[in-house]
Amino acid sequence: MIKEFTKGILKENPVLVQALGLCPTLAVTSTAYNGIGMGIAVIFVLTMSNIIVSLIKKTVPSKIRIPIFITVIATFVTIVKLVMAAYTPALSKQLGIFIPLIVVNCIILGRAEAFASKNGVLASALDGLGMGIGFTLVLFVMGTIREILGSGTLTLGFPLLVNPFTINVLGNGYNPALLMILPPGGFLTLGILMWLKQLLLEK
Amino acid sequence: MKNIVRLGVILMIYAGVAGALLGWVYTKTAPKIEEQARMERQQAIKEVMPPDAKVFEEKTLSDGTVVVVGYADDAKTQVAGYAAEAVGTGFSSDVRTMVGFLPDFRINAIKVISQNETPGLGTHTQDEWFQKQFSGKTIDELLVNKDGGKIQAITGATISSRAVTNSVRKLAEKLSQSTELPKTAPQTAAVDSTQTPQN
Amino acid sequence: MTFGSLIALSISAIFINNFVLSRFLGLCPFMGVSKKTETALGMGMAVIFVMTMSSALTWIIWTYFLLPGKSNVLYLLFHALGANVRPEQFDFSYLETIAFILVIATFVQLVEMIIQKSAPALYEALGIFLPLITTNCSVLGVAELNTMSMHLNFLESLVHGISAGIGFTIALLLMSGIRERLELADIPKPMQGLPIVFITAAIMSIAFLGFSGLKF
Repeated sequence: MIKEFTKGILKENPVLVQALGLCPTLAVTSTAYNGIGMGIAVIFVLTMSNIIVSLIKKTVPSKIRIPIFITVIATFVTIVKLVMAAYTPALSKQLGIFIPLIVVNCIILGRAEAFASKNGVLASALDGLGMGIGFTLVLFVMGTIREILGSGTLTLGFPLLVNPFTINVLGNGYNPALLMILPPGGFLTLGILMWLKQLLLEK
Repeated sequence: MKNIVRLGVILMIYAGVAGALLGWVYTKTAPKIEEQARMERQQAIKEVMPPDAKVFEEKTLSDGTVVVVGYADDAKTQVAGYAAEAVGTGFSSDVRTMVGFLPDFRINAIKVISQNETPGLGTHTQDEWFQKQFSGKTIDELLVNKDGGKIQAITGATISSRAVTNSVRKLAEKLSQSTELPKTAPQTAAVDSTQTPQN
Repeated sequence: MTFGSLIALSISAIFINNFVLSRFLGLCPFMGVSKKTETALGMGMAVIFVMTMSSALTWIIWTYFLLPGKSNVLYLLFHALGANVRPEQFDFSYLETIAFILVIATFVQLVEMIIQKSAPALYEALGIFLPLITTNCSVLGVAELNTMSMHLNFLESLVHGISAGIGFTIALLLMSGIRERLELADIPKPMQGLPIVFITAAIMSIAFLGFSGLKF
């Protein structure tokens, strides 16, 4: 059981190993806090949709299972969208269209199809939670690297619990490498992270 | 055929349950979302209004622009300032700015309330130094320096700077020419000029 | 709205705000099917078609079914039946995500069935890409941008949809051309596969940043 939880964090990490969910990984990580926010939203949607898909798997005719899974996922995404707009409006504005786009995040439909529709409720919940945490970790690392190099600051916080606060890491004398928070910086950072992962795993 | 109907019905049931659940969540969160938007707006109005404005009154002009008029006294005779929202098209999004005016339609202060411009470039329109330079500017001065005005554009984000500046100027022109707004009686200005040393 | 502003919208969607390299939409197929130029072209064509059609469909759903107001079909229906309703009661804009994705998924499924029966040659060329397109976030992305954030009208949505698809195809073709050559290059082992593709994408993205200097 524990393995279902831990595999998503490193060994089968959805972003670094399976190369899924790339769009939000690159798009929202201009600050560390945005990365955390997107990660929490995905953890919620992934875990809940895995649980529901695992519960209803026997009643779903295989021909229309994809539209039904998408309906389940879209429902949770909309709940996240409404709750974020109500309680964390600033974060909700920052993430913009990438909140509704969680629906088409390949990780979620992928886990519903490959895991939750074949396994029990508890295993599916753990699988979703693990994959979600693995995803969030990559977003957090990406956001940290890009924000420190690109703005010289680090914005931390936890939605609903800890209000975001900004630390001036590199001081006022630092001339920010703007490129890092622009689109090329996203590709570059993820490319280097994947390279490091392969470098470490090869040995 | 029968099978298609059966599948259709099953899909409809799932969609119906999802719709009902979302409807319920929506009714729970909608008031909160509205309240957030209202609070944000009120906060912005307070920040840009001249400090002597005590009583606020909302007016909708015939073209739909909502203007908040601030009065210095409870009897609403002395206009202290105005606040209204300006919208400009930036580089990749609409930039919305709350603008506060003095009674003579010079700018008191502005606050960029929403934008989705390029991180690190256009987002600097929300920086204090950029917004502060609007204070005290007259309509003629409201152009970015490249266009011959007195607003220093953000390096690398001329389009975003221009979006804010031009939308603010347009709003200032519209309000100053509007006949629907309560304006300070001209004698106030006369009183002011008698106090200047040149008299 | 003039013809000129449509051209500007189109160029901006293809180059300045390129969906893949600047907006980060549609990265999964960008990484997944860019190994060969031929398949990249097939995928690109399928995406252009689906994006254009779903831009139109989702715009109609948004304007006439989800937005409140006097043109909401459900309001008109209830009103015609004599019910005592007000137009602002029919605000279903919060259902936009679920409505859009179901419309796109259904549309893709229909297209697949139709061309399988009526145009087998076309199906052979594009068929395998169609199921992948439902989860291509650039398709839902363009629908969201048209309605939620850019507030485009019908014609603008269509132009934006086509242009976004063209932009996606250009990025995909460029990448596949580079990857075909990378096959022959001597790349350090840990860099092989996705890492080098991402770094290539970073350099392409820097090149596309240059387009932001375009003025109209």
